[in-house]
Amino acid sequence: MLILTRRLGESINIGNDVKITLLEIKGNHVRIGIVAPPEMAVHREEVYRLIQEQNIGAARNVGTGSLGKLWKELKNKNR
Amino acid sequence: MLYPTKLFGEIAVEETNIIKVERGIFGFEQLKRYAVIAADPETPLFWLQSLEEPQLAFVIVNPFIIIDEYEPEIRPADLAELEIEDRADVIFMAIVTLRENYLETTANLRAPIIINRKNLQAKQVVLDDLTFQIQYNMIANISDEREAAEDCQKMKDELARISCSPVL
Repeated sequence: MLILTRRLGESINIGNDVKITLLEIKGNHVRIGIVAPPEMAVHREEVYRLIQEQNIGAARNVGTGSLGKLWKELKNKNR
Repeated sequence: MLYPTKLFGEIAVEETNIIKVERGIFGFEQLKRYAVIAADPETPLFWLQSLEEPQLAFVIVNPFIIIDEYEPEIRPADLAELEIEDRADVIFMAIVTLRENYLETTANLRAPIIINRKNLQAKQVVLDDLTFQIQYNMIANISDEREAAEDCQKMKDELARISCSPVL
């Protein structure tokens, strides 16, 4: 991993299109500004982790029975 | 070709019906080939069965049945990656999480699987729009009106078209 030291207000450029700026430091919180092209996905890491965990949980729950029965139960309950 | 599965035994899947997820599904990145299985064609629920791991199958739902006007913004890069030229060619699927208490069944609307209906290349995308929930409660949002709506019926037909029937 490349490790760089930056002061408040300073930036890091990644390639030609991505710029990361250190905006604010408050205790152990750091605010970071990111400029990236719209086609590039930028998300907090925990979003990916949550989705990964959700998928793994979804995969674990199979074999619960027929989807027809589940769908009927879901619909009837909502009436 | 025949593929072994845990839930349906051996299933026959035509090469042209294989869903190709080049980057895999988050958490299962190494698995890239799936089939949509209509085990119960009366419902908007389908199985997304891995053709490489017989144990792995997700329950997926037509998202239009649980939310109005599901038209999330999709990155041009994602559309390009799947060679989608027209947004009308996108098929949406949301992964369902079943729980012991079926009242808590949720669908992931934040990270839908999008499929190019023309070549069946697919990808699980993460939407920027935070209003779409990862754990969206299904039971509170099912309605006959939604089910009868045009976009919902259209997506139902699309999913049915790309799905295989298991021989049980």
